[in-house]
Amino acid sequence: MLFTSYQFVIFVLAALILYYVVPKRIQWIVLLCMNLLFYLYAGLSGIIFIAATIVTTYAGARLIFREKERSARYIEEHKGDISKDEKKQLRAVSVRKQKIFLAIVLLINFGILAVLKYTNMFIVTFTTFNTVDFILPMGISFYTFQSTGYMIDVYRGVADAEKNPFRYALFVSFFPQLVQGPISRWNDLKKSLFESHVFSWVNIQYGFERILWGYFKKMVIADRAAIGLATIQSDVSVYYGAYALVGMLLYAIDLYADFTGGIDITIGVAQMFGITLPENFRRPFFSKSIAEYWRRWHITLCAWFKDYLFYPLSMSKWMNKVSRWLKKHAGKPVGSRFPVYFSSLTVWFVTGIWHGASWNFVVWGLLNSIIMLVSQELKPLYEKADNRLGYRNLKYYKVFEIIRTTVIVCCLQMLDYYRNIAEAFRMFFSMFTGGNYASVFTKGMWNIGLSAADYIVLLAGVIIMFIVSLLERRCPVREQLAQKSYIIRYIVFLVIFLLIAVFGIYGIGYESSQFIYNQF
Amino acid sequence: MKKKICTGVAVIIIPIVCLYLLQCLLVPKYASDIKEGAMIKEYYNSEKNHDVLILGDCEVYENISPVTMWENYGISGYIRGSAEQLIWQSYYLLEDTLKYEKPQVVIVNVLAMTESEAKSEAYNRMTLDGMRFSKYKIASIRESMTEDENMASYIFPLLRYHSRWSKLSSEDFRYMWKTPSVTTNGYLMQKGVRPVTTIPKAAPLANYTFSDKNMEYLDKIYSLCKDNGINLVLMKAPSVYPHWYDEWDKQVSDYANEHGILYLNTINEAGNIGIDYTTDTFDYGQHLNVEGAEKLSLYLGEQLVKNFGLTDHRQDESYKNVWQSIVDKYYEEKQGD
Amino acid sequence: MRKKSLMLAAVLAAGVMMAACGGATTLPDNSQDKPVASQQTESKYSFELKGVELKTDGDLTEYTSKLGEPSGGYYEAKSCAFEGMDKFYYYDSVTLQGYQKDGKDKLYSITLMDDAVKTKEGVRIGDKKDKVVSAYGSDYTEADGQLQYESGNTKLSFVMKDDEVQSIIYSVK
Repeated sequence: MLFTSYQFVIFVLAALILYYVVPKRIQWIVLLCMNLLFYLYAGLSGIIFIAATIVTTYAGARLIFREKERSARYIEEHKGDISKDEKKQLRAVSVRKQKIFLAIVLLINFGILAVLKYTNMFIVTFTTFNTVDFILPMGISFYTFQSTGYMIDVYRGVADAEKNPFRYALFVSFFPQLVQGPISRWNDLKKSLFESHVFSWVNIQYGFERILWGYFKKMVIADRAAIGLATIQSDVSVYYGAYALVGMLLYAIDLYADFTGGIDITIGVAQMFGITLPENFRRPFFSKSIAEYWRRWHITLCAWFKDYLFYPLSMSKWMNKVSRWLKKHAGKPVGSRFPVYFSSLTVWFVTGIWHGASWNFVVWGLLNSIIMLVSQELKPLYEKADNRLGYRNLKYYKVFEIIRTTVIVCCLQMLDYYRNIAEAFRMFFSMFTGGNYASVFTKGMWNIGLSAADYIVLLAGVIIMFIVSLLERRCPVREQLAQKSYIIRYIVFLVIFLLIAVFGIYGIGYESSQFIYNQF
Repeated sequence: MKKKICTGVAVIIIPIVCLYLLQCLLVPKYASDIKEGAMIKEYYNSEKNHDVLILGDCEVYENISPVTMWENYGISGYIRGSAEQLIWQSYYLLEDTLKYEKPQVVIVNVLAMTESEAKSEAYNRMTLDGMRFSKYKIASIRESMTEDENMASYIFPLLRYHSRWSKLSSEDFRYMWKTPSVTTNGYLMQKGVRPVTTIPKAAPLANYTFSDKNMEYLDKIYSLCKDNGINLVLMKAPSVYPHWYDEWDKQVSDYANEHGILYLNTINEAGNIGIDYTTDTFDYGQHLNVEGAEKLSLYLGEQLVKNFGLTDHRQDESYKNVWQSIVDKYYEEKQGD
Repeated sequence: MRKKSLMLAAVLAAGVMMAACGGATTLPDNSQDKPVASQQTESKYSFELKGVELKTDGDLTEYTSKLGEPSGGYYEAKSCAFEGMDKFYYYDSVTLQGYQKDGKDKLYSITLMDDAVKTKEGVRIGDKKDKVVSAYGSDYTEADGQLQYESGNTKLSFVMKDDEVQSIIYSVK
């Protein structure tokens, strides 16, 4: 069910009505049923996989939790008659057990994900066999991360293991975030997910406002940019040089409006149910470096990788050993840098491949990582230069940094957009050597499916998003609007609504386009 | 409390009104381009006292002039024709018309029997959008929709036409509330002459049998007319293209004989009617120009009077004034350029 | 010290670049989720008239200028309400129908009208079904009393009546 379908709107309405008319006690059960329906709508086969994930991670977490309790209780009960060393040993045995549970369940779940998502990549890269047709279950990359994250939390003793499997199932399958995230944490979500919610106009209104804003970004801006993109992408022998530049800009607009719009809808829908989901973006295009960009773009995914992959990897005993060995044999700089370098590159390799089962995403991830590492290395150099010249305090230096970051992000995204490494590099360089700027900007641009009017709408849309981002620096725009009179708020959202109705890309003549992040 | 309810109502009504206004602005007006799109709607503005209702595609709305029938026989006729009108669309238009009036004769052009499915969304739109909302409209849409279409966009045309915002012209503002009349009682006048110089050849077809669906709707039209005491007439307009195969003709005449209804195949009668394909057609013999249409209408009128004894309303005061203005409009258009 | 780490970064970057380029040459793009327009293969069916090879969707203007005035005349049919136009060229025994595609006149269909002409594979009107099948193989679909063969963008139909070919049509699929 696409967010931009009549079915979805009707589905949410029906779910809302049911949710608020049933006794408060069973509200969460209604939600669970709606999740099931939502998943069923996408096809029966997907259910098996999400069910497998729910069952295994639930059981795994329970086992780990019980083992934890058992061992703690045992030690507590035998406080008097065992020595400190014995205690330590008992704990170690228990932790090993927990580790085994964790490992098995993680293997199963990442195994499913790997087989479904990466088999074809493997076949194409290393064999000559034909590819196989798997239908990727809806949201698998998202719910696998969410549920395994929960289990690791239980293992670390950060979270308690939920007893009721159905409540846990609701956490994994909550329908608004099933399709494209955000990836929630158990501790953050459980309270608002399971507590009963009284019908609140404020929630409905806020949620609705957020949804409208999301639809505006998705339907008016992203889907419009996507029309031009489809043309530019279709034939690189025709659309190179200046077209590649246009494509690069359009894709940046498309991806931002599409993904943030989708998340706005997700968070807005959840809010209508009284449920608070984590934010996934913090004005990413105001970042002054790539590292900062990744703290502000797709926040929940990056945080997941940081917490569950980067830190465990870089701070593991094994890493420590290697680092020490390297310090001794290859010098201190290499040894002390190795854990960070190795972990970063690993994390970004995985981040890349998470985005898509092909090498272009891997290269994209690694390049991101390399740029961050290089700028990390160059930092002292910059600082030295700054000490001498003092440009860092100049007013426009920040603007320069922001633009620099944006340009880098846009260029890197070409790897995602062209889906083919050689093509992406060729198109990147063609921007400098294409030599067709005059003809494209006077004529070609108007022949890629977008009319002058469309470009005006796009430009206006980008300006609106920019202004909203500027305003958001202080506090969320909805909060600011909330301080204004009812009539002003009403007019603002009425206008947005009408803008979507007229300028939105939908209906016959337009391909209904999926949210970009659904595929991941 | 009262104030709260008022606000609540306003909050909901205002967007709806805005959407409605936008819809009025954005739906195509068909006033100067593709006038065929405006025809179905125009009927509702007419005086509903017609003796004859004519249903069908371009073979009726370009070939029959109700004014000629009025002037010569005092027959009040109306053509509810539209481009590529399919037989079930004719049936639902008949149902729709019966809500407003009950003509004595219904003429259906049988070329539609050879088309078993909707050709394109554009044609569907031109026939269906103009209909007033009713269960017949819904049924007709349901039967006609092509794969990519959906019901919602027929009920709320804004969903379909919103993208016209970049193509709005002054016409869209001028005719936002009321589209101008493009026909005289459903007749779309064509004045040029493009004579027939080549008679197109017909290649044999694999299958000549009318589809079951089409036969079903022909039956429905027949029963509906019978139940309402309306005389049904099947007609094939004169043309040299598309070829009217003998196999098709036989099916229609068999049907007419079986059901005791009149079938006028005017292809064979063209000579008697006086149609001259070197002067009376504007598109190489597919459709007639106004000269040809007047000739065909004379013949049709004569047949109707002969077969059904239609009353001459020319001296009838209740008809006279209405028709005078239609006749005036007709001649103004005919004489203009 | 810094130099060393910079070099490391450079080496790594170079490695990735190389991997990137190397990967690209051997890797087909398998990540496309969007359906890719199926590649049209050249049709194996064409018809030869007066030494001119005719293919559906071919350039109609070129064909007709090579073939000269059609002996049976030319006819054009405008579709109701729209600008679309079907054009018919009546040559001896063969009718060509043109249509507009992307603003150009293209050949829509070739209809064989009598047994004075035969297809490249040697089938003519009046032949039996067996002959069609032996000339074209058994990979046909039978619908509405027609035998249809498809290749590339061409549909070749034999209209049958009482086991005899009644007409032969090449048309755009």
